[in-house]
Amino acid sequence: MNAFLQAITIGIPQGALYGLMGFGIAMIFRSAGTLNFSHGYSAMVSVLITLTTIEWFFDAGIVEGHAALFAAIPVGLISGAVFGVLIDLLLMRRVKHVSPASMLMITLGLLLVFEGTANLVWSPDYESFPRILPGPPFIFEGTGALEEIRVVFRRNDLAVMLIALVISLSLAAVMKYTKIGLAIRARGQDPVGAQAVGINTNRVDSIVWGLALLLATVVGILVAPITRVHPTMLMNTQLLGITAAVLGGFSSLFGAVWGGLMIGVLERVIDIFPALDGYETAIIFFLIILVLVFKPQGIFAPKQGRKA
Amino acid sequence: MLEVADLRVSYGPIHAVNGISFTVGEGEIVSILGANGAGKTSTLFGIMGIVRSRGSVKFRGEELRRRSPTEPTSKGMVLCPENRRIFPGLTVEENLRLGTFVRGEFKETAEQAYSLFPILKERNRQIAGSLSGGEQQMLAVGRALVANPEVLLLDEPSLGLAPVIVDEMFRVLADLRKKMAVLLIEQNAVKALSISDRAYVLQNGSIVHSGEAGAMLRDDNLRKAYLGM
Repeated sequence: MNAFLQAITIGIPQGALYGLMGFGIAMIFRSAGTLNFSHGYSAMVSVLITLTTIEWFFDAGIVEGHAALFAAIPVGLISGAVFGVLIDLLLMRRVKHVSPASMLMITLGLLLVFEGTANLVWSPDYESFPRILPGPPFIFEGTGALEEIRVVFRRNDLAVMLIALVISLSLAAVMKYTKIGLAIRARGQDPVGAQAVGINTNRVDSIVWGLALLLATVVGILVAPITRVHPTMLMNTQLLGITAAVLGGFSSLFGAVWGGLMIGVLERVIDIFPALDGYETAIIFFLIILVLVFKPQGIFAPKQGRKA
Repeated sequence: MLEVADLRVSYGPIHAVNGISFTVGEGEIVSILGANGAGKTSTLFGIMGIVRSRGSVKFRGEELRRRSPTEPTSKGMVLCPENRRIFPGLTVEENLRLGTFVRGEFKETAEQAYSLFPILKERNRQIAGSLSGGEQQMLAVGRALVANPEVLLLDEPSLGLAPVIVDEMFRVLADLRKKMAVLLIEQNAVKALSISDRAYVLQNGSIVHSGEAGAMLRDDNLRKAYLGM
């Protein structure tokens, strides 16, 4: 019982990050039409830029202590958005009309470029990264009948959950109520239809790439204290982010967030059983295969109308 | 009102449209006829800035830059694309609202679309993907009309529809004449000519014939040579 509660407490914030990662991946998939294999790697470079900025602020003595992190975060986020827009403008726009396969190959190439850049310009070492909310963990202990309960909740996870919640809600509002959100959804449903109502789909694609990689940078900054900063720090998050998007069905963006939460919790719950230790990823991917076979639209996909 | 001069569209080494020129006057219905692959859709895409094109497109005497469909659409040239291209996951009303993305006031123009196609009002809250083919075509035309077009560019509105629905569609199109100019692209030449003022015949990306619609309908040689009737 206690182990389950503990697994869920750690799994939810972790899953929220997979979900945000998956949201960006699904957004690029639906709108720009490719699976971005470099998603986590460009975010990793943005995290390195954030870290370097923190150190620079520190050395220059401009900002003191923890404030340096918050001063550096905007720099990191902007770099994420800039990477996204540049990838779209310089690379994707040229091959968009050629074939989806060429876009996919470019994202695989970018993965290597980002990883190589991190190794060359920075280093393959593991660097520590400051937490948003430093301090000792919260410990919840039951009393009376619940005496056996003792759940540890990492303080930084509070920040992770709040940020993930605020971002999810604001993204939902943007997608539903703003003009640009409407344009993104329309472009994802039918590119020619979107152009017929006057939407500049090239501009939508740039915005989607920028927004998705900015989001990935947020995830990178939030996981960095746990994974530490190194060239493959987001490999696992990206893989499970793609999984979350598959699980949620690429047809609904917020399905990815739910999918991510499920994966995060599942990963920790599997962890409870010593016999299954080390098989978390294998079990999760086995479930993905089941989903793809029995419900290929994703488990949260809305009922589709007949195709006419 | 719309003057196209020496329009060229190519996809890599393939020339889809080889420098065609045509005009659409105020309140006129003009048809572009031709077989599959003649360059009809490329012509519309070029005019609207959906694909890159060379040549000149003037709307009310003003040269269009055609970098994206936003500019022509906001000026009043509205495309109703081939194969409907509605948004299948959105409701009928959301589809119509998107029609006013860059032009038109939904509250004012929606009633007009609903009165032309009452079925759309009935199916207001239904997911557009669940409509029948004919209803989807009406939605596509409705979505173009809510943008309050000055020139409506219609690409194959009869494609894949039952004959009775095609008749209904052309009855509505003939009625539009009083409110806007229409550039109609069709394979169904007889239907198209019967409501048009003038027509152009497109073959392999070039205009091979043009004239009054009525005269073209009566010209046996032309019908045999180009329209396959």
